[in-house]
Amino acid sequence: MENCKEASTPIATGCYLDANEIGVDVDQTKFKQLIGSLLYLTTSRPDIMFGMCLCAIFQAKPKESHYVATKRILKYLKGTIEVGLWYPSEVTLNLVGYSDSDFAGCKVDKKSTSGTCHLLGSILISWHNKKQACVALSTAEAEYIAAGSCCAQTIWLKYQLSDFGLNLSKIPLFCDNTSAINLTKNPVQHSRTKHIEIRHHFIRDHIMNGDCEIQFVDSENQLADLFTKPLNKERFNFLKNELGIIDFKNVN
Amino acid sequence: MKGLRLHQMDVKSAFLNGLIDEEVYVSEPPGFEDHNNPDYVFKLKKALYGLKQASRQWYERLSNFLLSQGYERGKTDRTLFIKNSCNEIILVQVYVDDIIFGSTNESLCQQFVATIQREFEMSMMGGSISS
Repeated sequence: MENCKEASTPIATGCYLDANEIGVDVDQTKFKQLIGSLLYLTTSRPDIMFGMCLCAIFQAKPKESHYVATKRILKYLKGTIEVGLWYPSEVTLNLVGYSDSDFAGCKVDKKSTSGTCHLLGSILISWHNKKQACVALSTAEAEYIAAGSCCAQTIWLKYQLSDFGLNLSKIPLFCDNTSAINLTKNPVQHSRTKHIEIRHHFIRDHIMNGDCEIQFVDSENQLADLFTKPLNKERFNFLKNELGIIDFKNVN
Repeated sequence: MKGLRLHQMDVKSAFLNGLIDEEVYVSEPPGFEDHNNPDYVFKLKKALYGLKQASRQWYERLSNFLLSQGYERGKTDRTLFIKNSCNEIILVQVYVDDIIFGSTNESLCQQFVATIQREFEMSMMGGSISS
């Protein structure tokens, strides 16, 4: 791996990973070790979060195709050794959350993926990628569930910041799906949403209380995109820059 | 931001500091046998490494000490200790035996170091990171 070519992104844009029943088996222990190492790295490298989570799903029965995808992350890392999070000292302390989802992102069981991130001023302090626990019937539902988990994290951060003497309310939570936004504001039983589990309606309560405030953001400026889908090089680098994931070779 | 300067310390052999309030006995360890009474066991007064009570007792000891010094425990994060005095704040974050702290007023940090060193044997980690 040391002499491999460098990749510009951790996951190829057209990357399609499924269970791949007929594929060639690879050593499970080796694969799990690789995933474990990458998982450890996500604490300082949010840019590989999505790719790592995507590959981690296949730990039970890893095939050659999964191994190749995982190795691409290593190829990406090789070219970005000096990338890290940039925490400048001069920032205003306001908290914002972004939530995004990838509808039916998992090719194995068609469950959607939630991706959220939180910024304090302009610095990235919390990020998350998780396959949702239930199958969503629509993109709006998937977005709504993602907004719910984003909200939960926001509430925790709010409490945490209050210990530091920083009391925030109406924390903006950015979502790029208007139907999901409307769902949070309108507590009606709609024929297409009445099956949504009660736990996902948690967000409504907190919006009514004024803990957070859901706002629309266009897909272009949806920063949580980085944690939900494979992106092309330009988009990937744009988001990395916006989130303060910076190559220290370029910092004096 | 407030331009806090962060410092880091750790407590030497932290778990040995915990006081034990239950009855725990150990058999005579090698090298400490009592030849007249080889069947005797020792009753513990303080915690030992490997004891299941050790981590809890250590947290108890450290948090009681900080609370007695006028620190307040964080409402969400129970390992964060905060002290406000005349518009200055000192934040102390504890992770088992590692302590990271910062203050808007550097003299509060020095004061903290002095007080905690009187209570526990500490080692100061070099360098300081500003945030």
